[in-house]
Order: sequence, then C-alpha cells, then structure tokens
Amino acid sequence: MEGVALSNSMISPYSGDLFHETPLMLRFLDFATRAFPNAVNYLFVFVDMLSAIVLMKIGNLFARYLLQKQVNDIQRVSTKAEKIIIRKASVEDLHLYLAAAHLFNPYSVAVCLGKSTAVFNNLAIYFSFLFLLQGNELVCLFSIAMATYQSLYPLTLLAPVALYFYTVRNPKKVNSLSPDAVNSYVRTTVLGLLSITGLVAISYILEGSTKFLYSTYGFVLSVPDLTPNLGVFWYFFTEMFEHFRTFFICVFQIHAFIYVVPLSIRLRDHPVFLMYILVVLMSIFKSYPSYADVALLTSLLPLWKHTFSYMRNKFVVTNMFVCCAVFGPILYHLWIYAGSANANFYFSIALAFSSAEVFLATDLLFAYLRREFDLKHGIEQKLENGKTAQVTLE
Amino acid sequence: MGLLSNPKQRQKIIDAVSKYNNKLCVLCYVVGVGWFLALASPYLNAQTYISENALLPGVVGNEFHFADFEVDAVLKELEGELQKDKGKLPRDWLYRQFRMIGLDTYMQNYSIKYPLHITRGQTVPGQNVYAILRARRTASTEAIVMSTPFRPKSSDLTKTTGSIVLMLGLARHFRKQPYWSKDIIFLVTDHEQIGMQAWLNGYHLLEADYIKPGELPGRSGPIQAAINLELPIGFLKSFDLKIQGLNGQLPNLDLFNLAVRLCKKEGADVTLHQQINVNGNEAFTLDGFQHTLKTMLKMMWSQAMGLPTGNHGMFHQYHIEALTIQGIHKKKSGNIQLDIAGRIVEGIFRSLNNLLERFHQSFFFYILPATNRYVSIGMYMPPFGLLCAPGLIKAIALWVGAGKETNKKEVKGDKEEKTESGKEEITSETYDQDREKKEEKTDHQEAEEEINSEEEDEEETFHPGSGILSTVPLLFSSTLMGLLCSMGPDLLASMSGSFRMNIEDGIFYGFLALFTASLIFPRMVRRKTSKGKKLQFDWQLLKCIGLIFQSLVLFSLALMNISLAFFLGVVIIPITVIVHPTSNRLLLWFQKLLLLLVSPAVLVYLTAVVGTLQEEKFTHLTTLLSKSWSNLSRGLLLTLVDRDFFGSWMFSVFSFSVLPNWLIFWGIAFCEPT
Repeated sequence: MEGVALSNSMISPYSGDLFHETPLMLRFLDFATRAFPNAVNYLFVFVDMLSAIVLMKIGNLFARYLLQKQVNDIQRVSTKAEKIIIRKASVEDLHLYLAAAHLFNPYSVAVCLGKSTAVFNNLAIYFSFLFLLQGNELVCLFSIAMATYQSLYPLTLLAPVALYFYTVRNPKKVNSLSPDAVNSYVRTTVLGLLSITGLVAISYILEGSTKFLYSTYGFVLSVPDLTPNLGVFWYFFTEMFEHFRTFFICVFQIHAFIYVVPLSIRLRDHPVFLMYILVVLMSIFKSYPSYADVALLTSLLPLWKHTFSYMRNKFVVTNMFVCCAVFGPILYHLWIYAGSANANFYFSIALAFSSAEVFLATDLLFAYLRREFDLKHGIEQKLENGKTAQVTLE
Repeated sequence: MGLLSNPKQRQKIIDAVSKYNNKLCVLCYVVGVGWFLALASPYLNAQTYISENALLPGVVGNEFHFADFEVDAVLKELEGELQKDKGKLPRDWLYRQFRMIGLDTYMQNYSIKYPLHITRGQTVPGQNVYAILRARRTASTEAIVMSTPFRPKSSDLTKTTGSIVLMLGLARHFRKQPYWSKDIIFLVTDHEQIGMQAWLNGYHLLEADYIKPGELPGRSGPIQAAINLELPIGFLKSFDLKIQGLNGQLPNLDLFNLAVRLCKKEGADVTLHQQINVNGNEAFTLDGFQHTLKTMLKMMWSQAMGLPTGNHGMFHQYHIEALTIQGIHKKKSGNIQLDIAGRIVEGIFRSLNNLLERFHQSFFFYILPATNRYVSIGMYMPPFGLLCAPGLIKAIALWVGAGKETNKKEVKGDKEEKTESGKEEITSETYDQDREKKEEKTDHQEAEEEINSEEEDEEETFHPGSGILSTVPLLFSSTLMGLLCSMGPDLLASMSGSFRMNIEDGIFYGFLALFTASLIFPRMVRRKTSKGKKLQFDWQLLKCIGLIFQSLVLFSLALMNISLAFFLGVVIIPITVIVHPTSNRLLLWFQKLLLLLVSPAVLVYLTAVVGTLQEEKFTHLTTLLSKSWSNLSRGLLLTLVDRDFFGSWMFSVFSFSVLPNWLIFWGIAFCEPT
C-alpha cells in the first residue's frame, strides 16, 4: 500500500528502501484501491475464498490422478499389499479436507487478517498445482512464472513440472533420461523461462527503468535488511563481518536451491509429491519466510493423507508446531516490548519452528517412500526363519 | 535425529515411559515441588551482586542533610494545606515550593472515566504536579524520576507526608550540585496508580480509552529509572522494598541490589515483605530455612497476584526500571530519621547518574528469598519443568496407548480380510492368467470387491464415540464458555442497572451463574446410543489434548509470571493427570469433588481467603470465610477495572486459558468409560 501512495505522488517507489513488491503487483493494487476505495479488505477475503475453491478443484483432480496412477502401476504392486491401496471412498472427500485445511487454518486466517500480499503468491502456486493436474502445460508454466516473478524461489518448481509433463505425454516411458525425455524437459524449461522473462520485460516497459530489479530480486538474494522474522537468516547475518558476507549469502542461497537435484532424481516417478516437498523446503530456507509460507504448506498437507499412517512422528511434529506458534509471539513481545528477554530467546523459537518444518518434510518423505516400498513388496516381510522383519532406513 | 529415525531405540524409550508412567508422574511431581521449595535454602541459591559496573554504589560520600531547610516549618505548612482541602492534592502550595527552589514546575490535569458503567459516564478529574531539574552538563537526553503518591488523611495506606518533605529537601540539595548528567523529575501524583498511569501516558504521548491524560506542558528525555517513595513522618524502623509490577513483571535485579546496598551503608534495616534477613550462619539451619521459605513464598504470592504493589509497577510497561521504598513506622520504636532516608535516595540517584546504558546486565526474571540472595531463571526453570512433566508424560502414555488400540483393531480387521482376499485370489487365478489386460481387470475387480467387503467391515466396527471428531463438541463448548466469560462483564454491567443491583454484585452473581451453567454443560452434550443417553467420546484423545493444552498454558505463564504458573501448576496438575472415567461410583464422585476444588471459581475464592489472612489476624473461621466472600467480589471488580485501565491480562488469561482447560477435564469426568 505504501507503494501505491508513493506512485501516486509520482515518485518511483523503488528509489527508496521501503518498497519490495513487483511492478505488476503494484499496478494491480493501485487499480484495486482506485476501483474499490473502501473495500480493499474484501479483496483479501476474496483471494482467500478463491484459494479455497482452487484447493477443492485440486482435491478432485488429485484424487483422479492418484487412482489413475495406481491403475497404471498395477504390475509393480505386490498382491500382499491390498490393504494400503487407495480406495475410491477414502479419496472422494479429499477436496473437503483441503478446503477445511485452508479455511480453518490459523496461519491462513492470520495472513488474511494481516492483509499481506503474499496471498497472491500462494494463489499463484495453487494455480500451478491446479493446471499441472489438469494437464494444461502453458498455463501451469505461466502461473509458476507469476509465482517466481513475485518471490524468486518457485523457480525450483520447474523441475517437477518438466518431469510431470513428460510422464503425461508418454505413460509407458522406459527411461527418464532418454533423448525424448531430455527433449521434453528442455521444452518445458525453456517455456517456463520465457514466461518469466516476459513478465520481467513487461514490468521493465511499465516502469521505464531497471531500478526495480534490485528492490525485488536483489533484495531476496542479497538480504540487506535484517529485521527479525520467522527464518534463520537474520540472526546469522547480524554477527557477520562484512568481509565474509558475500560468501555466506551465496552459501545460504545455494542451500535453498540445491535440494532440487537429488530429490528430482529420487522422486522422478512422483512429480506431484516432488513439487510439494520443494514447496515445503522453499518455505523453510527462503530468505524472508513468513506465516504465509506455513499456511501454504499446511493447507496442501491433506493431499497425502494416505501416507499419514506411515508417519512416525505425528505427535512430536504437531506439538512442536503448536508450541512454537504459541511461544513465538510471547517471546517476541518479551523481547521488543517488555525488554526482559533478548534476541536469543526469540531466535530459539524460530529455529525450533524451522526444525519442526524440517521434521515434517522428512517424516512425510519417509512415509511416502515406505509406502511405495510396501506397495512393491507387500506389507509384512518374512525372513528365512519365519520371523517378521522390521524395515529400517539406512 | 537418531532418536527420531532409529525405530528400535525409540520404541524402547517409549515403551518404558508408557509402562511406568504413573510412577514416573508421581516422582516428577514430588521432586519438582520439593526442589522448587528447596530453592529458598542458601545451598541452592546465590548471593546477590552488582552486575552493572557503572553503578558503583556507595563509592561517593552522601552529603545530604536538612541543615538549612527546616523540616518542621515545612511540615507545619503541609499539614495546614492538608487540613484545608481534605482529599485533594495541595497543588498550588507544591507549585510554589518547587518554584521557590528554582525548578521548572508544571501541572497536569487528567480525567478518569471508569469502565463498566461504574460512574455512569461521569468523569473524575485528577491532578499531578511535577518539577524538572535540568542537568547542567547535557541537553536533557535522559531523565530519572523520583515520585511519591499523594495520600489524603482518609486513606489507610502508609502516609506519604514524609516523602513530600524529603522530596522538597532533596530538590533543594540537588539543585546546587553540578554533577548531574540526567534530568531529575520530581513527581507528586494522586489517585494512586491511576494518576501514575495518566502521567506516564501523557509523557509517552499515548492515547487511552479510560484515562485521558491532559497535555504535559513540559517534558524531558526518555526515562531511565524511577524511585517511588512512601515515607511517613516520624522515626522509621526499617525500609521495605517493593518490586512487583503489573502482571508480575519485576525490575532489573541490579536496581534492587543497589537500593539494598545503599541502605546497608547507612546502617538502616532493609526488608522484603517486612521480613528481616537472617544472619549468615543462621540461614543454614532449619529455622533459618523456614524463615527464608516464608519470605520467598510471600514474594511469589504477591507476584502471582499480578497487581503492582506500588506506583512503580506502572513504569515497567514502558521499559523503565522502578521500585518503591516504603518506610515502616511502628509506634515507639525505630530510630531512622528522614535524613538517613535522604542520604539513601541521594546515593541511589548518584549511582543512576553514572549509567551509560539502560539496565540490561542483570536478571529480569528472578525470585528473592531474602534481600541478599536470589534465584535466577536458570535455577527455577528445571524444577518447574519437572513439575509440569507429569502432564506431558501422561499425554505421551495416552497417545501410545491409543495407537496400540487402533493397531489391535487393525490386526483383527487384517485377519478377516486376509481370509477373504485369499478366496478372491484363488478365484481370480482360476480365470485367465496370461494376458495383461485380463489381469488388470481381475485386479480391478479384486480391488472393487475388496472395497465392498471392507466397507461392510467398517460398518460393523464403527464406533460412535471414537476419533477426533467426537471430541469436537466438548472442545467447542469450552472455548465458547471462555469467550462468554471474557465478554461477560460489559454485558452484566449494563444489565445490572435494570435489575437494581449495584455493579459489583451484578458482575459477581453473573459470573457465578456462568460458572454453574458451564458445570452442567457436559450433561447437555450427551448422545443417544442404544443404551440410552450417554456421554461418549474418545476420552483418551481429549485428555491428551487437554494435558498438552494445559502444559502449553503453564509454560507460557512461566515465561511471563513464574509465581502464577507455579501456584497454578502445583494445585492443578495432580488432579488433572488423575482424572479418568471409571465405573466405580465412589471414585467417580471423589474425582468430581477434587475437580471442583481446583475449578477456577474455587481457586479464586481460596486466593481471597489467603489474601484476607495476610491482611488481618485470624479470629474465627466463619468471619474469615464471609470476609473473603466480600473481598472476592470486590477483587473481581477491581481486576476487571485493571484490565481496562492498565492492561492487566490476569482476567483474560483466566477466561481464555484456565477456564476452558478446566472444562475439558470436567467433561472427561462425566464421560462413560469404554
């Protein structure tokens, strides 16, 4: 909103250090405030409702996708694994669970109340999931481009999208690295990058200068502002000498992007799950996380409810989430307002929260892979001497 | 991460915890309480020390004396003023006095609007008088405050005429010194804490709903520290230091240690809650331990109340360290003159003058068993954690138990299914086995048939009282009660006029009604089953949720106000951990009785009883009980008023956390055992 005010007074919003939204978003909000002067709150409520509707559609499409995939992979499923096969009944009301997870989620309610523009970012990611499952390649890439245009990190989502469209086009693929496959990947990636550059070019034309690049992407990449938030960047960089800053910034940013490679290789047969895991990792390791990212990952969580029975740390993870959500604001209040605590208290909670998210991601990954293993080999394993074996992760 | 990903080790620990959980709970509770109380003994706490080196207490000689300023004359004039206008601040006289000394003097007019329709919309006016001594060496960048509340003759709190006289004498003395690097603000307030809050709101330019501060004509820089004086006229026996602020916030320990050290230097006795220290070696004996334990419990009790013990409590919200020095005046004993008090205050101000930064070195969270010993947060958190551990251990045990039950059901279902699927496999194998398509079809058919059979299975074993959805009605109703409780006062206050009750009674009886209604609630949420109306739900899951919620509440409280969390935890934890539905009627009634005893209403009543005991001597049980009843109703009204005036969150915490939490356990006591 400050950007709108600034641009109304003919100053470029990007010359100062205050404004970090993208030019297209600036134009959109400007239009919104001019068209509905008193009703900007309703805009955010509308976006919330739209996200819920999109999530419901995703639920339906994903249910269909799951069942279809099961039928396709039926040869690899062992006969002893009937119990964990997904039934139609259990995925029928998946869309209701997703809608409930979004609408009753305290995180998404908080984000909507705070009128943060990150809701638009979340909406773009929901759209990308929707169009991915619908099979509409161009629009899916365009929504990923929108999301990347806002914050840099959804760029990693190009990988699962490429994998998915290859599998969609050739359901009976043999090798993920055949020339056909590489062709397909390159095509998807090029289209995606083209859309992103297209958006940036449009903003350049609208703005008339390249100043906005530093304020939006440069900001995300070089982390100049160290206001405390829910992430792990600020505490580390407060104590950093200027000499080493560039090095450590590079390390942190590479860390945020590098998980794409090994995960894509391992999960090449499960592109939708890969996309979700990348979304989770993105929200933990990005330079300025907020509750909006947490809302994103918790509202998409019910998609995997068929793996919940395999998750081993549900209790610990749920409790950690709840505790950190409660202690975070208390310790922030004690630090800033009461002056009794200090930064360490608040950072410990932020760190515990990030650990809880990491536990969630690893637990989910483990559960998913374990289920795949069970599908392939049956539920109970018998050793040669007839005892039940226990499957462990090495 | 090994603990979370290594299944064998984890399983062992979890099995051990769930097998011995009862014994472990009892052990943790007893050790926790014992350790916490033992913190009063000098073996487990530490000697106080000055952490901020810049303070240098007592290094400079204190030169204050009343020589060229006749105490008696001023006192006569002041008493004359008090006679004239009983109850009102003698502002013109004070203004003149400060002006004669040569300070910038100002007056503040403010108005108070009482919430909850107490004064029916009329505002009460008030006045504060303050004078600023500008430092010669700096440009008013920081300030320290010396304040005293004005108390009319009709008030039954400690008189403060002595502190007004002392303030004037000190102002005259300070004016002559060249070494002040911070501005000194001399402040006289009326209406106790409300006046203080009004002045602080005006100083920091804050708007408030109920206390409307007038504009402050003169200001200085940000305030670093404040000393509040409550000294009567006459020979004093000792000085009592009061530190508790709003919501249990305490000033920096350095400030307290500074005051204690300076009192000792002048040879004056200094007490905490009017308990004198035991001497060094005596502290290690059992009698000494009893004495220090009593002091510590008194200090914790007053912190748990969440009410400021003096005007200094208002400063803490603005990140200003403050405490109150109260003079204890006993008839025909005591030999401390006002001179000595003046030198102590002068010494404190000289030390505060040396400060370069705000107080940040020493502890903000501590418990004091004596004036020279302290218990820091690192020392009291482990026993508190042990105290709260039973709740968490029980929650884990319940979760594991619930998981095992569902596993057993699944195994049963498995066995039934296996026989059926075995039949399906045989039938499918007798069909065509070679072609892929047919295999797919039969697999599909197999899957569909299994789906059908599984659905039948599920219908047979469907429990109406299991799963997380069955716990929702009770959770919802307890949150609703909490909401009603917090919104209640305004509604009740506006309605009590039409019932011709005064506000206090209206609110009190309204809350009683709400409480009784919430007691009956579990009976209203019953469902019809084949055996008649019963309250059935997954009580293990609900108890698990309730225990986790309780631990969360207790730990959050411990971060802000440890004494409140301690007293609440000691009383609530044993009973909530034990509650479970049984078919034994005697045990059930006993549980319900115990639960009632720790219900929020009864807890608040017991608090009133203890408070009354502290104030007056114990005469007769019935008089004690009836006095506590009236104290309770007044206390409830005052808590609500405090919430609106000062932002005290005691009431909100009770209505949003403690009450719903207790209601969850009350509901569990009514559940039918499976």
